[in-house]
Amino acid sequence: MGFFLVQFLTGLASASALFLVAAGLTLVFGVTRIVNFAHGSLAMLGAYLAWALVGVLPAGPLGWWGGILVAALAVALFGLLVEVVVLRRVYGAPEIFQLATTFGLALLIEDLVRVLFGPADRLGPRPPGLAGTVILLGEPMPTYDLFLVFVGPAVLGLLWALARRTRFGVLVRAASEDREMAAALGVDERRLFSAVFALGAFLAGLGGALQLPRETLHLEMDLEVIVEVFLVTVLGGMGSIPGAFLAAVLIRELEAFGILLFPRITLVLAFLVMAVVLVVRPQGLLGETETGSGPDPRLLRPLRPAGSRARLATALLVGLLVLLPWLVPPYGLVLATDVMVFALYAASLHLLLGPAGLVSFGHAAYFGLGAYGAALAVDRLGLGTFPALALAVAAATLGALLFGAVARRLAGVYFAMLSLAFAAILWATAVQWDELTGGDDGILGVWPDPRLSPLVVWYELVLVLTVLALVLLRTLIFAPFGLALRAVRDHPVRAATLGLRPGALRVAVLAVAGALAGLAGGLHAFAKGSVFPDVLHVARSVEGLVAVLLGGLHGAGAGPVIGAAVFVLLEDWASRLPWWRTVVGGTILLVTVAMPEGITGGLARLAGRWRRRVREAEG
Amino acid sequence: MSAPLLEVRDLVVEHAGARVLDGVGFAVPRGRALALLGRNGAGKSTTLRAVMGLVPRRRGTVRLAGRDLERARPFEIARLGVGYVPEDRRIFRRLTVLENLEVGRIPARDRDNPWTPARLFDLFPNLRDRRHHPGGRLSGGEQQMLAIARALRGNPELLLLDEPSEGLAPAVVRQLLAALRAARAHGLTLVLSEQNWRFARLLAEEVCILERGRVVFLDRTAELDARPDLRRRWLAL
Amino acid sequence: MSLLEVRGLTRHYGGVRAVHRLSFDLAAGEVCALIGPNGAGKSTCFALLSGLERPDAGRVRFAGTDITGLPPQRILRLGLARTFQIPAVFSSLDALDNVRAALLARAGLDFALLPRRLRPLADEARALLARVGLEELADRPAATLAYGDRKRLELAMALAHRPRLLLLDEPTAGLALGERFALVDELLAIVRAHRLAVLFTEHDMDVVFRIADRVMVMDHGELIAIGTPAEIRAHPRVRAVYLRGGALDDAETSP
Repeated sequence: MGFFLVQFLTGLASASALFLVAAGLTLVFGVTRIVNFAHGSLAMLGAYLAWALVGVLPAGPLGWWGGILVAALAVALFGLLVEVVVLRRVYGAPEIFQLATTFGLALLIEDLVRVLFGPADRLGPRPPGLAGTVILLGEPMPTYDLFLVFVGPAVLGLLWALARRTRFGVLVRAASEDREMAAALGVDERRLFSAVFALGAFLAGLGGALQLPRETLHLEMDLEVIVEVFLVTVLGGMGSIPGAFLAAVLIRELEAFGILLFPRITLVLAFLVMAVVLVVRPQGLLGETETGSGPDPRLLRPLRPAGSRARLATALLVGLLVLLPWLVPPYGLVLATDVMVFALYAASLHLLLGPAGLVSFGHAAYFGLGAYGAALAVDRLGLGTFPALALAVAAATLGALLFGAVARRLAGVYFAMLSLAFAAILWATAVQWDELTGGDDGILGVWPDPRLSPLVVWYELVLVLTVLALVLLRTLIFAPFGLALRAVRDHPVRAATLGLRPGALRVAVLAVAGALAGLAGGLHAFAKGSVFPDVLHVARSVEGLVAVLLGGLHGAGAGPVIGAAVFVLLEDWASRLPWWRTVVGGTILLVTVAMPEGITGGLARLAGRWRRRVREAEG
Repeated sequence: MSAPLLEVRDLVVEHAGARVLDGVGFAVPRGRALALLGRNGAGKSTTLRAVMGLVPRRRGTVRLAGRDLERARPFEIARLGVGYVPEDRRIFRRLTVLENLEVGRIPARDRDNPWTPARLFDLFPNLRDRRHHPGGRLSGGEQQMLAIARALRGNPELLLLDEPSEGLAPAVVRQLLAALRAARAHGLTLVLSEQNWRFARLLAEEVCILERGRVVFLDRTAELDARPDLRRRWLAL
Repeated sequence: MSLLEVRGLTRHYGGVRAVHRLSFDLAAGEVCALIGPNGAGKSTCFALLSGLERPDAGRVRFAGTDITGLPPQRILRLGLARTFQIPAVFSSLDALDNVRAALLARAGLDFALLPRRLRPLADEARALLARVGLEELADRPAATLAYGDRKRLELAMALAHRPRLLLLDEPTAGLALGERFALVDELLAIVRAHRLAVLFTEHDMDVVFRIADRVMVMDHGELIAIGTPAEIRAHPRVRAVYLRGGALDDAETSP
């Protein structure tokens, strides 16, 4: 009995810290409609700052609590700076750009923390006076955890009082409902947004800092926290603080007791519960129906098949690529293979982001399922290269169908956050289930059949498969299927009243995109000869996203290929730098803030200007 | 003669490529009431929204007490003393009546503000009983009263009312009329858009008829009152 | 037998009776207006009939089939199409593809994977665009069309399904006066040519009295009058509710 009580209370204690961070995210979303990907990074920053301050300040309760509080306030100030400098520029932008921007921020903050506090893991002391344990029904329980049990409800109460009893709270609630009307009544929404963002950052910093005595601090914390926070806010309902509390308790208790039943797959359990909830209530436990921001205005141009000159250029490029093995040294060929596999992956993601208008933030799920599918087929089943690739495609398709079944009714940010969580859970499963996946040691010795393994043969095979897949994608986009997808993206309600089936179309396009990403994953596994959990990592999802945005969302295939090429070459160069996150994060910010049309869009505009100038010169 | 409180000149607004306002101009002296009349889609709401800074102006000027509002954002225009009652009321549905009024309060204009909640409840007694109810639970008429009360709470000099009588029962319209007349006794200047001529003529001394984004008639209410032919032509009554 | 049979249709939101016990019939080829002040329940009524919302109570029969609570696609397939108050078109597609999207839905081609399956639809799409006077603008992105042209495009999309009943939500809202009657006359010609039944909401009484065979008046979610335009004009309760300004007596309200 005592054991269950302590288990239950431990669940509540960790729910408290999670709730604090999640409340900050949901509060910011409610007012600004921005899903802040860097929110976990703010929590991490708070935790590290608290660690440093507690170490510096004189020992004793004042030093400890002062350190926690100052850390949270410093994070609030930092959040304010970020809001004013960066986020203000993307408030009007489509949600995919907002998410990408805040992800870029997350990368920058990670490097910042690395520079300030070093890469080593850190563990903080317990606060004086709460360092011991108490015995509950014969079971020991850390006093600090018992204290944390009360923090969550206390903060919930304070936030409630802030919202109901202060003018600031009333204005925040008004602006969450109708920003424009609040402004027309004299509310300076810019300052209000800054204040709310600072408050959200404070809560993140406090939530991170309070975890100091309970958890080892490490540089992967940011992603770990954000995934859990996304689960909590989606489950609780975006914008609902009581919903976040309820969901945090639910998820933490599931973990606390789930670990007794299925020690390895606690996150899977949380995802399953969420799947059930979202199928019944797509807006989450206490959320309001979310409509999404509608189609991206930057996509509002009809797609036209490329002209004959572009076709000729493409054919020449493919011819050149066929001859590449005789033109470049072996390392160049390896890099070219990487570019093609990544281009295939990015193109499959582009199908979702562009023509289908589905903001997928977890595309690595399908890439990784493909990679593990191929690796397991070789390693466990002893299959040859082509059957293994077929299995890779099948595994990824199945994963996409499963996700589609849960997410087909979800709009905008809900879809994005759930896709991220889905991939993160597969990643956690790959790390934890080491009997099957080898855990962090991965699966080694995944080589293609001997007749395919010479570098040149493998390169040509990848080239053929990639070109075929890209032709298939382009065909689909211009087929009735693609037209129907674009129609559903532009106006789902209108499409449904015309007799198109938005839900079925979404599941189908997820399956296609998943299958091709799975193929890319399978090819990746054979190219590297091994598979590690990083094929499923959030970073992989975001790399695809950056390549697509870099190339340009508009169009039917050229964008992601160009974007992928630029990205792989950039990363190949930057990965040798200790600062690669800053380089990649900075690139993301540059693209989303200054170059929203991407490389193809920018080139098209330049070409248009050039043509006009020629015409003027002639006329 | 002193400068008009509100002066709109050559206002042009476009939406999705279509010209919604095509050179609208009028002036309202302090303390007067002007009614914008015209059919659906004639540009009445857009004119009010443009004055409030809620839609981008393609061309033209809006002056408040001689001051150019070109670069002003909506919240600044509100703080300069313009109250706005939108067409669909846009009550904060999850906020109580009192909280809705609090959003309308502008601290910088709150000194000597005659429009305390108590005074506003005298004006709209229905709201007093409902002051702790969420806005979403009010009836259409009560929401309209709250929208007006909320705008008055900010102690404006100029009140913009977008179709205040739309969709309301006659008894409520009568109450509204009395309240707006009472508010005018404090020197409030009004610009209202209306489809309901009978309501407009009881409240406004001047009328401006819009048709396809242009001013087709601008004169004293009495002039239009004497011209049923013009009313039939422009208002289809 | 009537084409559309509505019995006791009810939809409440919280405490608001958006539509309450609505019953009426519509004959094939009949043009009927649904009028009433803002918030009277007209839009909800359309959402219920077209399957975008499910009723709390009541039944709807269309062409002999019970369509209560069916999804919008099924209702459309039975021949009941609609347009929206703010023209709902696919902004990123050109006008031709907007109509083709509607046609491929009718043909069940939305999962066809070959681009050439779209070609046979082009002729019919052009014919439909011509019918509403948009043949010159087939290549224009819908987002750049003028307001009135988007309304026309939406009509062409609704006609793509060869409906027997059209629900038009404020077909002339947002149009200039001259354009209004032009559109209404075009509409009437199409309706008569195909013997379509039309149920439309409209604020412009000139339009209502110009084309409606019959007028229904709603207020606070309920049907308060139904009759010929002449009967409706004379109906005292309608005058009180709809032309509510008439209730403002000068003597009573002057200071």
